[in-house]
Amino acid sequence: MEEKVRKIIYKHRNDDSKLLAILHDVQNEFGYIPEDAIKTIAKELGMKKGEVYDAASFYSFFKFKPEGKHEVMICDCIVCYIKGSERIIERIEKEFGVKMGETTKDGKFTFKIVEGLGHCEHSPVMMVDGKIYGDLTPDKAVEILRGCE
Amino acid sequence: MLLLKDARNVEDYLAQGGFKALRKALEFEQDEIIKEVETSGLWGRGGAAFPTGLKMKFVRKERKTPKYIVANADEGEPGTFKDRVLMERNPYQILEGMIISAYAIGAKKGFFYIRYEYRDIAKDIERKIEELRRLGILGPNIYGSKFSFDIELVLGAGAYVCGEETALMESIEGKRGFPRIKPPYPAQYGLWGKPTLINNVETLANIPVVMRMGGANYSRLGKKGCSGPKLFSVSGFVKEPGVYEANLGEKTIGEIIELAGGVEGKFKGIMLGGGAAGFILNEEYLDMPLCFKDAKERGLFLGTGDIIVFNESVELWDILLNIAKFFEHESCGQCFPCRYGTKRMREIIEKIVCGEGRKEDIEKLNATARAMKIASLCPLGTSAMLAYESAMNNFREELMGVIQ
Repeated sequence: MEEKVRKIIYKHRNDDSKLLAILHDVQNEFGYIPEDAIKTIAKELGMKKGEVYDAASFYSFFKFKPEGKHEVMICDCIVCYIKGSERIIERIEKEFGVKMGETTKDGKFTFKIVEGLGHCEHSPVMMVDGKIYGDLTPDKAVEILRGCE
Repeated sequence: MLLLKDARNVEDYLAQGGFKALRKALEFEQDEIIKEVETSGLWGRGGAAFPTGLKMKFVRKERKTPKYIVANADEGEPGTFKDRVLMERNPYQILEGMIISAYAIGAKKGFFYIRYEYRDIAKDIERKIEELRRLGILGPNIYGSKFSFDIELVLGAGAYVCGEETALMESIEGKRGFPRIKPPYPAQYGLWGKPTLINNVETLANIPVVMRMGGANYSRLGKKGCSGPKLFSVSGFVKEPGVYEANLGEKTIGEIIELAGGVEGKFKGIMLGGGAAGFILNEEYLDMPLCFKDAKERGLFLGTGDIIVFNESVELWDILLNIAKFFEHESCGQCFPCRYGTKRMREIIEKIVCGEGRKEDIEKLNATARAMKIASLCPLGTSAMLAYESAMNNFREELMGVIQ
């Protein structure tokens, strides 16, 4: 792991804004940011481990433990809310037997509520692994998720 | 349209006269460009509506170097999606505006900060930056001039507060996105303590328009003293939600709603300025022209320029709870009035939504709102109550109807 993390850090050696870029790449590589990676980043950037974690943990989208195969973000901002996001959330929780913020038992999905995906012309929306799905109904949302490998 | 053009690849952009403004600007003295922008009457499109030329002037006159420029594409206000649509449809105009601005203030390095939710667009912008380097429009000696400039893309990681300029700079520096105490302002003490110009991407896209037309002509677009094209995000219960462009002061709120196909269902009200940090208004505001000054006269602001339309299905206390939860989650936790105030607002509103609201609760809400407004460190804390306060002004009867 250390080798891979060092490679990522090296890739960003000429960037002025390094830390977020490195953390994103580490998360892309391992699916989350392992503690050992934080150790390596701290050492290479001349920071304390706590300083790296302090910054990283501030941001909602950095993960510090492994999650499900697919990341599902359901928007519950005001526009999605008035267009029925709560019904979608309710239905997904029932259908997949989880609460928002949890991972399904088979490790396939992690569900999260987010506030503002920025696609309000298609509210209600959700994002699955970075892809936006809009104009959802509870049925349509479940159908899309059932179609994930 | 001056902003909402379709130029997704560089050939199209060049064919539409793209980068002509940059070539023209490179023949100008730096101060002449700033003068044009000042004359144009362009004000910032990110929410604060600060005169863009003045901001450039502040950075320009600083002696410290290096100077930096930042494009703020951390569009996190619920109901706002105009920056996303602009980056998808007309990205080069933003980059061109950024290069011209950098030249005017004397910056050699810029940062393009995009929120994580738009990571696909971020990848695309990064490819475009690389493309412009190959074309000699970014990098050393742009268009054979003495001016060299490059852009680094920074991807955010999920924090509404990072849209605030000083929090965004902390984030670029690799720290948690805590807003700084102002002054000093970014013009004096920005990225790594250096003079920094930070502009919203829509503001930057206006710069080539100013340079092409000249500041004086630009200032005649729209209403006098409130000039230029503006993007409006229209969503909620309208038939054709989307981003619409109009010169400031040219259209009323009602007319923009008509542009978006009209109301779906029976009109109840709108949210203006931001889906969280915005105002809940009734039908009396439909004939208000969309202009910074008209808004200010009524004690409002246009903010990011978004309009969320409510129909009769919308319950206002539910909306206020949704907004209160948003702010509780997004408060960065640095200053006490906001950290505690957003939590307290959510708790009280939750109680009211459950049907247990009493008159004392309204008094407590008002006191909390007042304290936050006076004492919060940044605009997040000082705007968290705007929706509640404006709803109370405009829909008092309905809101008080459930209070025991």
